[in-house]
Amino acid sequence: MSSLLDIRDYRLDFDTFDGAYKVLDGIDLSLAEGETLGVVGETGCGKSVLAKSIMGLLPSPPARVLSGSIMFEAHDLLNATAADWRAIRGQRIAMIFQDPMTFLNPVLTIGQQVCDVIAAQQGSKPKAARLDRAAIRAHATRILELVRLPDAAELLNRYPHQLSGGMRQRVLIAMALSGSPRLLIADEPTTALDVTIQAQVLALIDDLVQRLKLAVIMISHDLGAVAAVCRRIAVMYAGTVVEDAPTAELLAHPRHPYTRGLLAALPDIDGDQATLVGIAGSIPNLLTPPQGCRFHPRCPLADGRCSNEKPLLRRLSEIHRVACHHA
Amino acid sequence: MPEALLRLENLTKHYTVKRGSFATATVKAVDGVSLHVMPGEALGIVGESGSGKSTVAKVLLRLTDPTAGRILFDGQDITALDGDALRSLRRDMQIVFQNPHSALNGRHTIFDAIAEPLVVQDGLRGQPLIDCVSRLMDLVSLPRSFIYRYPHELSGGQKQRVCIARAVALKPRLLVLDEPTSALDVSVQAQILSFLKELQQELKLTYLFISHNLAVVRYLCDRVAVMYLGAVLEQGRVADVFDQPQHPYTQALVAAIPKLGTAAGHNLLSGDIPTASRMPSGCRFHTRCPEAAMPLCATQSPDLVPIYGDHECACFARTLRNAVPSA
Repeated sequence: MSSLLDIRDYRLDFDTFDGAYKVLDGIDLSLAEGETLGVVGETGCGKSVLAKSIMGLLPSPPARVLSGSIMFEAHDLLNATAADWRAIRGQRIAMIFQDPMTFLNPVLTIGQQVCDVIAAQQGSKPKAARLDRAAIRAHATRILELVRLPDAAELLNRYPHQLSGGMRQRVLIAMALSGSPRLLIADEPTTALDVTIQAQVLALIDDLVQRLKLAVIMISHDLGAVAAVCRRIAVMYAGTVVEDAPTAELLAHPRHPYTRGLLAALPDIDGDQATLVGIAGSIPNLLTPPQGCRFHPRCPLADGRCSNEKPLLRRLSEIHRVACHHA
Repeated sequence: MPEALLRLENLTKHYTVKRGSFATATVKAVDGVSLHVMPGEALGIVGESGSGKSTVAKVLLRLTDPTAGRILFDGQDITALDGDALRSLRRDMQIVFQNPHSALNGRHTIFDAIAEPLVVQDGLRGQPLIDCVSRLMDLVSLPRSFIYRYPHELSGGQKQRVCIARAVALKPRLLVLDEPTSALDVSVQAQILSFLKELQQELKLTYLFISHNLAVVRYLCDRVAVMYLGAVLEQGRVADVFDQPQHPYTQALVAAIPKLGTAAGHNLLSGDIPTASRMPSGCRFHTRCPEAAMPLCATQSPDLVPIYGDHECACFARTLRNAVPSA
């Protein structure tokens, strides 16, 4: 399989008045065509910053790239120009966000907003391939049907407040898919939704992956939701990828103590649990991240080596990578 | 049978909202809820957003007045209590809210936040007040050095501990926890949950725990009530309700949870929760019910019927099936 997205040794700082926050510290990740990758970790471990880097949405300053590269298809995303981005965003890579309530304009109809997105994509096409207004509206109806929204043509005339949370998230997914991208980045797509609606949205994403052969990066702190959709999971901690393996392998044989901690912290609906174990402490201040392994102050296995030497993400097997001296 | 600490009898809360210039509509937020909580017990209330969970909490704490029904606390009718009597009741029942980031005043130190109930209710001042606040901080495992810090210097989990310290400052008998962990990471959630479990034993507290996360309720609670559109559809011991859910709605909720290692949670429900201003006729769940609804379901509202022990369920189809055992 050829790789669609390839991130190599990507380091990013945020410059602030207090100094440089070392937000991402050497990310190595790749994604094949049509692959589904989940990125999990606690708040503040750099998941969303990574997603925004891939979409080129980080303002610089404060963001400053120290090293590395992000390659998507044939594009070098770190050196893309504004014109390159116009052709990539929405048409090659698209993104959906956490809170469907805040990403739709309340004073415009769904139709106006969906059509705007499609119209904006026409600029980078050759003149002959551009759609006229009627064709844009027809396309809008088609993509709303694609995400299984009932009465799509009717829906175009409605306002966001007339839609429920689950429907709004579907509209946002439809807008993201309007340019037929190859990669969809979903940043906590179901966190703001109820569990029954979450199940609907997860089933929809799963369905779209199958039908459109879409590659997906799904970011979440909910291992359960990620495991339902993604075939591979990368666990992030304080700006580093600490473990990367296929979902079944990761759940059955977690090797990094942080991954084990996350799994132990999940309450289980089946059967009684006597105790629930959290991970002691909290995520470090990235202004002065711990020396060596960034997880060592919270790690039950930490020893002298961990506080001096940063563990590299090494291969345990063909499919399983982990960054820990003790794995 | 020992006396229940809290008993709600047919509790109802209707809101009147404007529809246009002259017309009004009635939102039946809570529509005839009867519940009881025994001393030392933890009762969970689960349901989707909009099912009236939080309104039940607000009404029973007398933060808003019920439209109808009675609230009995320790055998005493508190439905119409006011003035000093209500103020002294506040000692006995306290609440912890969902979002610790907005529940604390950003311009008050941690000392101010925890001391407030002690000043208002007990009139404590000076050294005794400082001692008391320090003891409470020990109780919730916050370092004493935090006493003069501001909320923005604390993490989410630490802020939630401050909110819990403040709620238990007056040694309440009933503690209402309204989604106390849904704004927190899973690792922090695990810490807070196991801490709440210890605290309950240490202070002999009674919990009313509101959540949309069934697994969390299973971990912390003894009994659970499932709410939908302002009414309780099923209640009983957590093991009974979650292992053998009887109501089609509870079955759908349990099935919707994404489980590790299996495919996406099954979605048995279509559509969203109807609004409480346009309540379906008959059984309020019949519009989304996956079981073939009987004609009766659309015209009459089912009552809670005992199934086994204190496991109760409000569903005509279920009652019928239990009454006529299949051959």
